[in-house]
Amino acid sequence: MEVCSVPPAPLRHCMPSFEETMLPHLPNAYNLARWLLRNEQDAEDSVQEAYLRAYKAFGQFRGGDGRAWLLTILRNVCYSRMRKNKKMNLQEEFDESVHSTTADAPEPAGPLQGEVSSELLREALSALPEKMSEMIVLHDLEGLAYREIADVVGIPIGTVMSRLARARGHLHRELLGRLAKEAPHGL
Amino acid sequence: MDCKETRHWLVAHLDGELDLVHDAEVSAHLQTCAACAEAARQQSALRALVREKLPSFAPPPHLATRIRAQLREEKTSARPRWSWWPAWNMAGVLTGLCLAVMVGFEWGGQRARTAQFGDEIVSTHLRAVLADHMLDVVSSDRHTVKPWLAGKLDFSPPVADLAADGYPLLGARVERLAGQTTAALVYQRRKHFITVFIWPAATALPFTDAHRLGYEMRAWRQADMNFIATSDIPGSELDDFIARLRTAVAQ
Repeated sequence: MEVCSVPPAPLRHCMPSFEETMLPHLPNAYNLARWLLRNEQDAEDSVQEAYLRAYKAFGQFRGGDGRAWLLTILRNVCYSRMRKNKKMNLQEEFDESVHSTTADAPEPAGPLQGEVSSELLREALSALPEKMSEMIVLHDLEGLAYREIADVVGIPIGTVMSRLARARGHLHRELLGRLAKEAPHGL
Repeated sequence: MDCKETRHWLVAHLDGELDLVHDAEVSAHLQTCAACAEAARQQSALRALVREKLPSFAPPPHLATRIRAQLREEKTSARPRWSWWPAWNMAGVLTGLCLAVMVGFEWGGQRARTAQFGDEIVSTHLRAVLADHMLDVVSSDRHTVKPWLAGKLDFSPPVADLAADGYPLLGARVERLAGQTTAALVYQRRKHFITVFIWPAATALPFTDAHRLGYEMRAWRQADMNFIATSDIPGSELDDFIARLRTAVAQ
């Protein structure tokens, strides 16, 4: 994106306005917040707060990917809120070194049999720790590249890869478990 | 590339995020290893499932409205603050600048006045010496000098004879100094003269010790009087004289 880096006041019009740059990313922002916080009210409040923070910090935005920039701010807002809500008690202990890269990457216990509904998929993803589920949300729903995820989450690109692999493994097992429970009723 | 490495890179391979060299190696391994190929199929299926069926949460319609309204509010409330801020800032800077100039002026003025005063003292002393008009009353007797001065001045300066200390009193005159009428007592030290200017301490003593044109100057306050002594004798000797004079005045 071609943007004047630090325009003097009279030239400000050559820079796209904050709303032009950032409001198109509202669906992405809301989706991430909703997945992280798992309820609508918190998601709305966080998105609103993130937009306000982004607006105040817009002077530091150097152009480039407005979406990644906004999501970075939003993610920080969401995690602060989670910490405040004490929802992080279990996930806080999630440790990259303990859950080492590939050694214990959960091997899928078998192919997914049967129809997987959207509802089931959503439940399964919701069961993952936020730091896992956000990988899948950012990559598969929002379509962010590894590089962009690394920027948003603030981790090395290699960690993005291994964490995403683990997240998919977890999701696979969650789905298998849910399908197995559903199967007797379904039949 | 072995199975372990292949599994490590598999997710990046499926996401198309792997560099060409590794990507080709992973592809080659998947051609020959059934187990890894199966893992790739499962992961690929899951990835497709997520992309196809995982729902995105759409923001409620009122959220965009709320954010726009909030930004508008922020803009209007922020504008005065931001436009006033530099003004206050500027006011602060200007106030600071004014203060600095005033202090500097006062300090510089003080220095200038002190220097000027010093010049005046020396030139007064010198003029008297050169014009051979040192004394209006010639007497080493303080009981003569003191009444004479009291008759000329509206104050009575302390007069001490220090002949016993090697500084005989020669006499006195009345001298205008920096707008003050002062008593000028003249003492002798060998071939040199010491002039002591005395006036009431009601006015400030705008002077500190200095030396100028080979003359030493000392200023002090004592007995509600301002004293300034000047002479071309060495500073240490002048200090000795002053110490003795102060002792005599104190008695």
